[in-house]
Amino acid sequence: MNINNHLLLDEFLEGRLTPTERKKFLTKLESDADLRRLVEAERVIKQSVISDRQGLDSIDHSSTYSFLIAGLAATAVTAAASSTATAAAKTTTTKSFTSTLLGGGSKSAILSLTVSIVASAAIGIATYQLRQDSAQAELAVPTRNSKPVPVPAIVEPPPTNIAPPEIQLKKGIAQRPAKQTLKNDKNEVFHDIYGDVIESKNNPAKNPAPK
Amino acid sequence: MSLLSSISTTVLAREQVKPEEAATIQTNEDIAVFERFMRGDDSAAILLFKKFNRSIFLYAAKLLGNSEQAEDICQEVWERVIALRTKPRQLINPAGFLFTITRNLCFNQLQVRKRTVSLDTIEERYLPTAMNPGMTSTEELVMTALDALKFEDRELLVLNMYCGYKFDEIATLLELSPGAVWTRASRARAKLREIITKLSQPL
Repeated sequence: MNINNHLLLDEFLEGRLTPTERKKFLTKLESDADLRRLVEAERVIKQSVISDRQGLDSIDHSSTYSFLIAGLAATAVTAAASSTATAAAKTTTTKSFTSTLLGGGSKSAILSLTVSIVASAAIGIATYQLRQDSAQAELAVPTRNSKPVPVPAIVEPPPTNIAPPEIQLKKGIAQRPAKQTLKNDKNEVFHDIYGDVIESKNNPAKNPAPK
Repeated sequence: MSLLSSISTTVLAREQVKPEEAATIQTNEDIAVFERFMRGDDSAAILLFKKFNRSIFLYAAKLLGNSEQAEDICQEVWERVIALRTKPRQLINPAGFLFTITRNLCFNQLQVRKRTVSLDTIEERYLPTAMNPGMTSTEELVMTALDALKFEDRELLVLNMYCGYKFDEIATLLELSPGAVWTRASRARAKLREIITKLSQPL
């Protein structure tokens, strides 16, 4: 048994040695300090590699897969379209274009037209699905590591004076002055379009309730 | 392949892709699958993807030290594979072909990096790395040591330890003799241990 053989070290660390080989190896390991150091170093390397590989294995390859599928679909569609187009070109050279359109000519030309429409639809579907997938992938990758910091609430005093917004009249169009209201704590104050105060109908002082 | 089947395969894209566990090189089987793919069989392409994509990704990720760039490289590899359909050719070693493309693309990427920025000008924390945030200090040490190896040595160890290929399979992939691969791997591992020892010594 050649103990310097790194394959043997691998087999020992992976538990693939036969019981006899294992016993022999352990006997050698007890007496050889260099071998112990070597085995320990290899064990650390293997463990680190396994840990790193697990991290890399957790990466999702769906986007690459979608890319492959879309590529395959595109080549299939291109091939189909080009072959039918060739067939159409061959037939239209022998028969006139008018007769083809009127149905008296080549059926393959009409078929090729149909196939090319279907082909472009297929490309559209593939592209749409790919976009959907990539959009989902983008959504599915939350990269936030830290907790979101809550934004402190800003308490602002309510505005005391609210100026009525200016309304520009359009020329040549007759407009009825609209009433605008402003709530002033208790009493409602009405303004017309020019900003003049109109007396409120609900003002109990001016308009007492009927007895 | 019919149009309908090409449309139906796009639906498969939504499914979660589960890589196959054991990475093996079966040249004859791979050639047969590749030929099926060249003839227009899309299921063969999916078989190839499931068999090789994980290994290609791990290989690129460890050579580049960046998983996002590795993902881009994977897409570029499959794009090139699909492009083969327009110019069909006989492949003797499909797995080797895939890894050669990946290797060349990784080289290009590393060249671009060299041209654009000098590593000396970048702070260490901005250096590209594929390390996991939850790594222990020992694991980080091993990863740093692995990154410090020469490209050829690192490539061998990545193919063996990450992708799970045996040394004779690596010899097939890289089109080298098994003896040469064996010797290089032994030296690379010794070098790796040496760097780890150096890094772990207190300053």
